[in-house]
Amino acid sequence: MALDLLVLVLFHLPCIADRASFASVCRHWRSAVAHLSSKEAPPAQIPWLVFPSPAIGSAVTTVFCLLSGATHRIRLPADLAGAHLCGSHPGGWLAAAAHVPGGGNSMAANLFSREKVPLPSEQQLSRPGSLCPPAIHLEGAMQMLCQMEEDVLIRAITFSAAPSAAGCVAAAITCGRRPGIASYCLEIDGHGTHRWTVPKSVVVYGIEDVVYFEGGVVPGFHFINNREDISVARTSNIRTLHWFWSKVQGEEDDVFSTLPDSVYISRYLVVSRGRLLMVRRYFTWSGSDVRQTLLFRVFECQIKLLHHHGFEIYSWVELEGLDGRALFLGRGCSRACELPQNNGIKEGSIYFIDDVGCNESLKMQDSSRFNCMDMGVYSMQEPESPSLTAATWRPDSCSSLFGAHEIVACIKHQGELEIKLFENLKELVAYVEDRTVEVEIKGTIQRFMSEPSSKGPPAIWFFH
Amino acid sequence: MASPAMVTLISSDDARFEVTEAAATMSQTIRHMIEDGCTDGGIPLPNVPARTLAKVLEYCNKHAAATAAESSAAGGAAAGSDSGSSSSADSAGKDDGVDLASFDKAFVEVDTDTLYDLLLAANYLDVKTLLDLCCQKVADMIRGKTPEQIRQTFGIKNDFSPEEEEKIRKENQWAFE
Repeated sequence: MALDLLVLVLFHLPCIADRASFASVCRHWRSAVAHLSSKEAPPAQIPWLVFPSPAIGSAVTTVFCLLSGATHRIRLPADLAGAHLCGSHPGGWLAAAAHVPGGGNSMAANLFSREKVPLPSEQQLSRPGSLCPPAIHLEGAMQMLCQMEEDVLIRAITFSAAPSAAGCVAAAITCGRRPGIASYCLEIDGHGTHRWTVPKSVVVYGIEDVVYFEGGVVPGFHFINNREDISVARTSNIRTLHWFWSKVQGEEDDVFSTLPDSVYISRYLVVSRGRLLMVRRYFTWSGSDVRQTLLFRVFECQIKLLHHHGFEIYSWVELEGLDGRALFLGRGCSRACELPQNNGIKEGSIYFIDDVGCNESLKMQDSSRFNCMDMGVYSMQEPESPSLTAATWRPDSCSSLFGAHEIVACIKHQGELEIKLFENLKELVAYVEDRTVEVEIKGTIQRFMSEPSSKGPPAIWFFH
Repeated sequence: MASPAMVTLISSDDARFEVTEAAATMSQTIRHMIEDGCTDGGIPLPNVPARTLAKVLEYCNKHAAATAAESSAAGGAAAGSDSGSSSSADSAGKDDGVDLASFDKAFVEVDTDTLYDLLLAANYLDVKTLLDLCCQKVADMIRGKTPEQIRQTFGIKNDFSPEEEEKIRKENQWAFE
């Protein structure tokens, strides 16, 4: 095939995995990739969703690429094989914790450059009653201080910079035997000791997410708990937590406070356009490990000074749309993406994975058996918009990986709110019947079609 | 209604095709030849064999007819016909869109040699939408595949030297083959 035609085909292959395969076919095809990359920058990538292999110790794993609507097989760095992937960082980094024997190493590793940075083992956190377990001296070592708690597992790790960068600090949120969660920070200082450091203040429970944000009252790791309080740890002093009230504007009149007890909320923090976002995920939980996500609400932070008290609070304003962005939510690794033109992904999309309940799942010894059912994409667009009635996903690609749209409706009846999902508007009308209710259609939700298997290690977002 | 203007196209193997000017001018190459007045005795297309030209014209006829139907429907609505008929014209237009999409999908369900011939012809004749369609189809056949699977699909020989192979393997340690 002529070079110029190969280049035209390449324009239809924006994903780097496809381009890498293309360049490995033969000399002629390789020259087409070289020709194109000498002329223009590679296309903006959309995060991959990495599904670790359920096979113990396997480094070959499946990634789901939203950009191309295809799955790719990739080879993880050997140290990550079989480990619980619990963090990621832009530039190709993945972080793993070794939960099970033979389940890889606690490590941050780069998929592309194959660089690796060891992390302290979480097993040191789990020894009951020991305040300071024997330090394990590793290369580039770190020392660890353990708190009196059993069965502590790392749930998510996030980084202040690329893990290989000088001065990078990592923060982890953990879960243990008690239903609450404690937070820990770890220091990678390249010298000194291999250790996790615990905040000096009392153990913070109910931590749901962590993000690194330089624009707050105090720059550093921002933790959110189940009461939506914000705690911040500076990278220069990770033992001290700064604690802030947070308040959603107009919450006093918020009908969402009338939701029944069967609806739970889980929270994520995302940094985008220099601002801190909080996302609330509303879900039902029918016992066992099966959850159903109903709705997402996105709030943007405005830091306000309470004059009469003299301290700052995190004040949240609800966003009606995402203005050219899509969100990818995952514990400690949520990111907002500015969407490139004509990429097939709608603005206002919120991609979510089944990470609400990993507390319980983590505690089950069989960590290869996570539930991966409640994952998919929520759209903040209303179903009337033409793009939702038409097939927005490119034919032969993503459409087969997602199930049907469900309409998310908030129904207010006699002062109480409920969130319901409907397959179509007719079903909604039938549900309402002739009752006097207020109905607001919030968006739509589509679930991944149990790809690639309904049970397996938890998936994680990967940023190129 | 006057019968539409026709032009004659001559394939590389001297087959003659009578087509409407609307269909023929989906090709920018042919459009320029008509504009330059090179139509006497038919338009020679020395790079396109009859078998491929017939296929390309099938595409052009279908799309030119759909475009004509769409513009006449739009014209009817603009001329102030009653709301009933304009809404039926709208729905006809939508059906055409669905119809065209499935026509396109079926059109490129061909063997790789035919697809390659179509790609070359679409490029030479400069039929942009057909060129896009063919490139998309080739890309669909590559997407998600390993290099070896791609070679098999297109019958390509691996001509890398062992040194080059090693270099590629090092570069793409993350890629599974």
